[in-house]
Amino acid sequence: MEGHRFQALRAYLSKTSKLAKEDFEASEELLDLLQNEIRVLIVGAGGLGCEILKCMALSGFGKIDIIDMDTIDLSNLNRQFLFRQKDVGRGKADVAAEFIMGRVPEASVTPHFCRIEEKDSDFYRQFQIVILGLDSVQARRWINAKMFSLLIHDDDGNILPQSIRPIIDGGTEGFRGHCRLICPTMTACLECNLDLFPPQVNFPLCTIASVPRLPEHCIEWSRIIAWEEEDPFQGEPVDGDNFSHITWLTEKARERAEEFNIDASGIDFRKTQGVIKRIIPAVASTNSVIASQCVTEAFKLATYSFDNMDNYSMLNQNAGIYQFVYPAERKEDCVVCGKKRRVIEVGKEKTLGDLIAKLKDENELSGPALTANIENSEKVLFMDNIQGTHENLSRTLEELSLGNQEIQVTDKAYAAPVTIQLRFTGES
Amino acid sequence: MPPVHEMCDSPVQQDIRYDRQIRLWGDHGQTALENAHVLVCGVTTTSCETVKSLILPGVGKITLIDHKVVEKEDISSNFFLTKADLGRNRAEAVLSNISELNPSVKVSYDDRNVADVLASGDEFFKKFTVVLVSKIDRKVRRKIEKLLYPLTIPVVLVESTGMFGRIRLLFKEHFVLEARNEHQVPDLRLDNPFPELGEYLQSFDLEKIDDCDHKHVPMIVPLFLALEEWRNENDRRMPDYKGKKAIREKINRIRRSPDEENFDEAIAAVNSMIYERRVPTEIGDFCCEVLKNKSLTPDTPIHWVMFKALHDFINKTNKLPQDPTIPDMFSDSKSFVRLAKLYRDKAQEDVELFKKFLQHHCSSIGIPSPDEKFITRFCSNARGLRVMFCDLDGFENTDPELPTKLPELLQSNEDNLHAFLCFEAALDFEQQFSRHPGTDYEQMLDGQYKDADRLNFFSSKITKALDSSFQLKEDYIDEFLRICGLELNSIATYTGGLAAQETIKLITRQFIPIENTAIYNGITEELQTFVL
Repeated sequence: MEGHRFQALRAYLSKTSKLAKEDFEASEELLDLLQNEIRVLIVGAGGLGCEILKCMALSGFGKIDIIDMDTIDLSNLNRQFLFRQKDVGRGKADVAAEFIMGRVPEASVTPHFCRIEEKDSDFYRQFQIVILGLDSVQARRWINAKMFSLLIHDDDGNILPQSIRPIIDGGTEGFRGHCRLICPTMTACLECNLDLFPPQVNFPLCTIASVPRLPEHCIEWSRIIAWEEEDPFQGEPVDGDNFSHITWLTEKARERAEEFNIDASGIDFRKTQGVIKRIIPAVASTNSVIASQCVTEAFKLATYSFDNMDNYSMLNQNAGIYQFVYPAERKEDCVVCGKKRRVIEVGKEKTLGDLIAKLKDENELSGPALTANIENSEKVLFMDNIQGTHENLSRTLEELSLGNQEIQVTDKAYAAPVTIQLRFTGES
Repeated sequence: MPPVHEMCDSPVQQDIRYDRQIRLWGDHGQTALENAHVLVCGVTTTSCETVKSLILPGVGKITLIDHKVVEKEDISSNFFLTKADLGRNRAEAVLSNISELNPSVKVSYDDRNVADVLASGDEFFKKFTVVLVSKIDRKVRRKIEKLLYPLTIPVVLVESTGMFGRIRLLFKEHFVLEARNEHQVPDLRLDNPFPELGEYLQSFDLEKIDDCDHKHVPMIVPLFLALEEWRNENDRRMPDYKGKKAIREKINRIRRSPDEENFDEAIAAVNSMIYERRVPTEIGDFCCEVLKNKSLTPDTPIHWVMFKALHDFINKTNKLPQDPTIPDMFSDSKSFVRLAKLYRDKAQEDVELFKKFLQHHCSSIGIPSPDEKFITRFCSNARGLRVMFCDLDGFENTDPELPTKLPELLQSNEDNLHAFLCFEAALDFEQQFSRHPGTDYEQMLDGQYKDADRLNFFSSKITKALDSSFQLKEDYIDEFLRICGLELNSIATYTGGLAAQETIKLITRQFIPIENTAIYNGITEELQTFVL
């Protein structure tokens, strides 16, 4: 097939070698499979997303969708290389798709300039592989739960292989990164080990309000307290991307620092904006490394040419280069992928409000709604926007007949409701 | 669509564009990057990916040199090429797509054979900060290494073939000013506080102060006082494991309530922050390294002059200059601010003393004193300073009759070294036969690939194995024959990304580079580093 860009790649895939997977079927048609049959979704068109998209297109994948709700900012251009100055303000997914199709016409890229939550299950069902280039734990959890909700069980309780859609998740921060493979039913999922994600930085309010020690405390003070008190921009809330807002906050933070004799020399625009927006440092190189690793794993999945890694790779390039792969373990009672029901033990004298607080805390939820099937009817125990359910918060679990009941929990963190089993302490 | 030539950023725009990376290496690191001129010999997919991660962060200038033309393997994997580029000179073909990544960077190309450039003289190479090489003739590479080594211009090898990638750094010496070691212990000087610090810490009477003050005392106070008490009971020794346990108990005894966060911090700090503050042996070694040499001249790299001054400083004070930064700790504002200032002032005092010694040496050599900020950085990063060395003959001996180190390493059965050797053998193969291994269509001879024997032949020549039974592992030969020289974009991007960051480490003198070779195996997702 002369004149085709991927002629050499086709030749490579039509041969095998001793290092290939045992049951690898080398074939001239493998490239056609990549070009025409396998559909891939890339979630995120930022630092990782641009690189993932580019590598996928140059690895022979021909049917790619990419979804991102953001628009392009000047500060993206040091690494999001499919964008130029003239693109600032436009949707990332749109521009990324345009660029790749211009450079690699062999790839068909469909952009979606919207939130992931706006797409329904039928949308996600179209794809055989999903690759994540996200910068938020919440979005990851949502997609994870969504892809797991697409699993189909047959009558014997076994999962149909064609409903299994692997997720490849990449993440970077400075010179560190990770790439992990999530094969539903086989490996750990994103919910299994949430504690792998570093906690959000937050400063105690009393420190900010009365005993600041660091420039960061002064900056947070100006955002939380001074802004409230002085309302410098006629009711506008703090916008981390607004030049005047940050300038005002910087000035206030410096004044505060001087008041407490804290060294204010480090409080400049960049420092202030970094604290206000919780900016994570980022470079092109680390994004390239992690993104390409995700694509290598996707390539292996699609062509069946080599074994995939098992299953979680970590990279640190701060000193030398350190990369380490280890098998992240499934949690038996994971609320998303667990084989066993998650059992929550709690005293029967505790209130529904107590239970909700416990769920929020243990599972990092923001505002769960609870329903239960009691005496064959579905009962809404609590939902924030249903006024009538608020009185349940102060009723005890015993009063609500919830002993040994299965409770469905819905929350922004989950794309589909999860079920837990409630058990009263002291009872079996 | 032809690329739109965009205007260069204004300084304010540059600041915004580079914001996320300046948070990692600072404005001074960014300046170093913008003053660098990088030469790339061999425009492969992998070296293009390396260049991408140098252009995007704003390296000053890049020169691409390659005499080869674009072939089907190139367009299969290189993002900066399209079908229309077949047959064009490689350096020229990628130029516009590469340079449009960042209008502030000056990118130029040269379509000559780098061997001819070398033959016509050395001057061409001397203006570069770092030289990258990718799949160039091994003899030419060796000549470049030998030329640049004494000039302390690093050579970075970056290549990938199929599922394998490799990076090798080669330099005579590389000075790391800011290691930015993630695990650096704070320099609290609890074992031997400077007078102002000791006075301040002793001024606290933990028994007399009220409950509110008690829970706001910075943790270093109870930590220090408990340490002092223990030392006074134990001949002024520094505590071992049992001693530290006793100190934790002392701290626990004086706490007034279980929710005193500062006391939690003090107990947690006993293990890591109580130690005898010594000059690390490596730093001592660097200082001695200078003294071994003949006298310093205006051509001596400035870091050796700094180490000489550091040696004087250590002789005078028995210590390294103070690190001005202390960890955050729960505290009332006044105490913490006072504490932070004490350490900062001490660090400044040490810088002034260091400057005196440095000035003396600079004057006797006849060079100006370096930049104030450079000196301050040297002092505050004193504990992490490092000079790294590579052996010019680590892989290939200057005397071709001597064996290389590789067979020794191969004895340890490191599979990935076999991949490394395949890279080398394939280069010689291509030089001789003008084609990639595996592309001989009369390749079978008695059921074996002829090219397999040829690759083995070249690898034996390279290792000059005295043991004639040495064989490249068949599995790796097999895979290289299957690949036929093709780069895979994801592997090239991975390797290129890592190499770009190593190059930035060399240019900025921040963060510690690999020592000195890395091999990536995309099949097993292993990355191994070793000295070669």
